[in-house]
Amino acid sequence: MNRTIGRVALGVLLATSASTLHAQGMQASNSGMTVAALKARLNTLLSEHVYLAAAATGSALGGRQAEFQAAAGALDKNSVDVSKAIGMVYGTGAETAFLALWRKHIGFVVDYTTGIATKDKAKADKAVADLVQYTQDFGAFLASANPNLPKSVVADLVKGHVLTLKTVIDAQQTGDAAKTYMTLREAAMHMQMIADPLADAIAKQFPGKFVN
Amino acid sequence: MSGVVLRNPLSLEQPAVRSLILVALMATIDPPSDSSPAPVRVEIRTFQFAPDTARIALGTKVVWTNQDEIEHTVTAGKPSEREGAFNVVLKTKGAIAERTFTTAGTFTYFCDRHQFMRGTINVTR
Repeated sequence: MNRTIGRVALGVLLATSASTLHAQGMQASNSGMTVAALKARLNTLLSEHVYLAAAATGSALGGRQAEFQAAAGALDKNSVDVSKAIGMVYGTGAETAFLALWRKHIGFVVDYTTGIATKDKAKADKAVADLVQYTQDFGAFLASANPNLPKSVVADLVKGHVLTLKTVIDAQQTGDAAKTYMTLREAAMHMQMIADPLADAIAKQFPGKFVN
Repeated sequence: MSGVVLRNPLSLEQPAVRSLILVALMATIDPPSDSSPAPVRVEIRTFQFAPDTARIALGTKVVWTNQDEIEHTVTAGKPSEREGAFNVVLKTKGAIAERTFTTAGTFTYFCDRHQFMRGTINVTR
C-alpha cells in the first residue's frame, strides 16, 4: 500500500516538476535511446541485482564458499553496470560516487547475513540500521542528481527494496525453500517500482535525449 | 491642524545628512582596504566535491556549500590518516563551511560519513 502511494506520489511529481538540472546545462550523452529501452535496461539491472544478491546470501548462509565468491563477483559486476547506467546520464564523477554508495549497501547486506548466520543479533541490528540510513543517502543522491526524484519518495522505495530482500534472507536462514523463492520473486518485482520512476524521471530531466 | 512642523528627513541642510553623504562618497571612491583573494567555492553535489581539486593562492578562503539533502562533513586528511586541522559538519542542503588557508602546501580532506568523497586544496604562495 505504502509502495503504491509512493509510486503515485512520484508520478504526480514527475508530471508537475520542472527540470532545473537541464536548465543548468547538464547533458545526457545517450541521445536517441527510447524511454522504453531505458526502462527495460534499468529493470533488467535492478532485478538482476536482487537475484544475484539472493544467490550470494543463500550460498553464504549455506556455507558454500566457492559459490558465494562467484555470486559476489557477479553481483559486483552488476553493481558496476548499474553505476555505468547512472554515469551514462550524469557523468563519470556521479558514476564513481554512485558505485561507492551502492557497494556500501551491499556491504551492509553482507553484514546482516553474517549477523544472522552467526546469531550475532547486535551485528544484524546494526546492519539493518545502516541499511535504513543508507536509504536516506540513496534518496539524497538521486534527489541531487534529478530534481524530479524527491528524496523521501526515493528513500521509501529503496526501503522497500531493503525490506523485501531482508525477508528473502530471513527465509533462506530458516531453510524454507518455498518461502525463499516466493519472497525472492516479490523482491525482484519490487525493483520495477524503482526502475520505472527512475527512467521516467531521467527522461523528463533530459527532454529530447530520450524518444518516447 | 496640530501645529506640528513636518521636516524632510533627508534635507541636505542637515549636517548629519551631509556627513552621511560624504562618508558614502568616500566609500565609493576609496579602493577596498581588504586585499585578500576572492573566495574559492567548492560545491558538494551528488556526493562529490566539485571541483575535487582546487588550486588557490595563500590567504584564500575556501567556501564549501552542501547541495545534497543529507549530512556531509569537510574533514582534514584521509579516513586512515586524520589530520585534525578541521572537521566541519554540513547538516543539510544549503549549509556552508569556510576556511582560510594561510600555509602553502597540499591539503587533503574527505567526508566522514561518505568516506569515498575526497578533495584536495593546493595552496601556493
